[in-house]
Amino acid sequence: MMPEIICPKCGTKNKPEAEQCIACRAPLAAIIDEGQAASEPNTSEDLTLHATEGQDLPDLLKSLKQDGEISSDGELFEDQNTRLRPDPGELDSADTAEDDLPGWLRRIRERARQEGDAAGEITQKISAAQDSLASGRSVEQHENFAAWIESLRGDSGSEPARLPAEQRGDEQSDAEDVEGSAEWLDRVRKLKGPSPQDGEASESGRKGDSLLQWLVALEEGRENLEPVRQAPEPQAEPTDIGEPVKPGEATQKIPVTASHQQEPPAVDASREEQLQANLFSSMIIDESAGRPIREPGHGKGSWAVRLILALLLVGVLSAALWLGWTGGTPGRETPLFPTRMDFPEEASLLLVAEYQAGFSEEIHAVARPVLLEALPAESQISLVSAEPAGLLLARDLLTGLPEAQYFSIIDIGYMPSSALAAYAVATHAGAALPWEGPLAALPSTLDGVFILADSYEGARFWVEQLSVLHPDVPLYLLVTAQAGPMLTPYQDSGQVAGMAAGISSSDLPQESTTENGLALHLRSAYQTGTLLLAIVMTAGALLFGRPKRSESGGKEGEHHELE
Amino acid sequence: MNWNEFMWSLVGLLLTVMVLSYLLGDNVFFRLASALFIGLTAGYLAVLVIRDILGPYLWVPLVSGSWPTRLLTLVPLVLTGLLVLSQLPKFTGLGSFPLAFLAGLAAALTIGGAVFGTLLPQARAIMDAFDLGTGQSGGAGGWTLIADGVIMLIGTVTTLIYFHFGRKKVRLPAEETDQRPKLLEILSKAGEVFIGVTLGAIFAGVFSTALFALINRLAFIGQFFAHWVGGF
Repeated sequence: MMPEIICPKCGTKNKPEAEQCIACRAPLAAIIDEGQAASEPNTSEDLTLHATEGQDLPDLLKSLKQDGEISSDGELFEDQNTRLRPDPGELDSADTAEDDLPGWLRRIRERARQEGDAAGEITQKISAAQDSLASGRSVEQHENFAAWIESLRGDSGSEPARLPAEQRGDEQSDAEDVEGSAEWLDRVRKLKGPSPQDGEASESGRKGDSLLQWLVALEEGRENLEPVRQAPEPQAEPTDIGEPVKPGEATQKIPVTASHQQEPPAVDASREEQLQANLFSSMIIDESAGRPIREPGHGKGSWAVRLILALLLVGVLSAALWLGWTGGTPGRETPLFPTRMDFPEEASLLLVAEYQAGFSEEIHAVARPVLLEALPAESQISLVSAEPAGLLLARDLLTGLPEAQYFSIIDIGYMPSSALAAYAVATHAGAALPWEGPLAALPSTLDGVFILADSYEGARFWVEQLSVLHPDVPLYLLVTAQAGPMLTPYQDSGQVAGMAAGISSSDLPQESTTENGLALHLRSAYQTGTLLLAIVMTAGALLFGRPKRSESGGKEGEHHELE
Repeated sequence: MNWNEFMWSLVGLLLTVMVLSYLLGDNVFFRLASALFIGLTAGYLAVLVIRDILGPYLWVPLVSGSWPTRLLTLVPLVLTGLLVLSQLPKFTGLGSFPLAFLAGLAAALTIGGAVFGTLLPQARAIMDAFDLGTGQSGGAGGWTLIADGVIMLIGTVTTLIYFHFGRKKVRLPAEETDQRPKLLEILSKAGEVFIGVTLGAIFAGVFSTALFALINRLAFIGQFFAHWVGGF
């Protein structure tokens, strides 16, 4: 398509075949011939120059960025006048071309340079036409660039833009150039603050992408950046945002995480308080967190060791039980009970059975000799228990005594709590009831109380209540060995008249007769078993009892650092 | 041959062996014996409560008592009813009344017994050991009692100090904030010795009781075979 002919005199558009201007009647043919002869090479040269410069738009952008005028995504940061300022090279090429222009055109352009308004409509249109023609040749690159920018904006937070290979290379060089000329970026950062995405991108090693994406997001207003709070702690490694980025570095480290950390308040706490606080916090904070399952420490080897030790123990005890020494032990030099159990012939006694069936043999082994010595033949014995099987076991103990047929046994019954039972018996609560319950059968006065217990708690409540409410009634404790140590203070304080704890402190028969032969065998096996297990425990402590040293040098399980 | 006695002895033997089979690890026989014991205990306890608690203390006065007695019996009856109703999801809150009553009663009995039945008498006993005028502390044996009292006093004080973790409200250097005063630290070390001795004595007692229970079971097995198999 032929371009329209513009009259050089009045600037009116004329048809290509017109010989004179339709407005001023000026002849167009000579002017056109002269003008074309002078302007066509110049125009083609200008267009060639534009095409050469616009072969690759990223190169154009690159040159602009080097001047600090444009960012990677093509956004301008300076005003329009600055952007339109021509380069000296361009002016030189323009001056060279103007040497070939006709005199009138040079005067017009000279006047246009001096006065922006004096260019005239014709010259402006010519310049516009030349720019349009130049931009028409590079429109494809512009479209690619626009698409690239759009793709960056769309995927700024997720993945890098998909570009042709040559453009990706240009993009990387763009990023390097941008960081090399960080003056404009520093100004932006001072105003807006750094982006968290920069820090993430730098950590992931994506060079250049993060800066472009951040700029896009910044331009679109999606970034709501707060000024960086300088972290007070040195481990936060704050980076001076005003410090120029080194040319070799692809990204700038920005202490984004430091801005989210809160310094804990200073608390003065002792070590124990800190440990308790840690325990409490682990209880309430880490409830849903998975915890490692602690594997049991015994493997097949330890299982075999345990089995061997158990069989060894059973074998030695059996041998001592049936083949052991039964010659008895030397007689007790001091009486078992310092207080003589001198009860009247028809004594009113209370027997408290606070023990379970599993401990009955030990309790009976301890209590039988004592009761044989202490109980008068016509005693009135009241039975009470807070253990379900206590009454049955106590009745079995009493009926096994030789004089059981002369005893008068009163079954007070089972009571659901040791403390309640002790208080009810000590206060004679049965007398206060308007009806005659089992507690009413309890005698109003007691000559003595025997407490048979397998645990400290079972005996303690009875001692506490009876020793306070009936201090004149003697109390006798017949308990297992495991309850003895904790009950000894009651004997030392005089609240308890006498105590026998375990088979070692009992008065087993000393003579080897048919009736008590088993008791002597039991004592022999007990002593043998105690000796054997003492040896095993000592050996185990020597072999395996040394504390393991952890890698840090401390004992295993010792916490050196408090959370 | 008494077959009844033999059968029950045989049941006892089998249950003993089933429990001792735990030496080989957890197995079905041990679990069967455990379940049997738990079930028997629960059933026996239920019968015992009905016979010794509900019968004489609730049912008898409610049926055969006078009207004032019956009205008085309504109190435990209502509390029992509330406790039963609390098992229903809609009436869970009703159980707080009888439970509060029981908790208050138990706390009163426990605290009163601990103060008047343990703390004061034993504190007085320690002080009596230093009373030379009581006759207990005179003569050669008296000095032994005094020494005994001194040891008890030292043990009591140092054990209490061991469980003291407080400190003055003064600002200390960072390296001293996790330490008690040096005097308390030294005394608490002595308290550790007394606590260790006490725990050792308790462990020995527990060990002794368990050992005797094992010996007794072995004796039962030996007696069974000696009597029913060997004919002794």
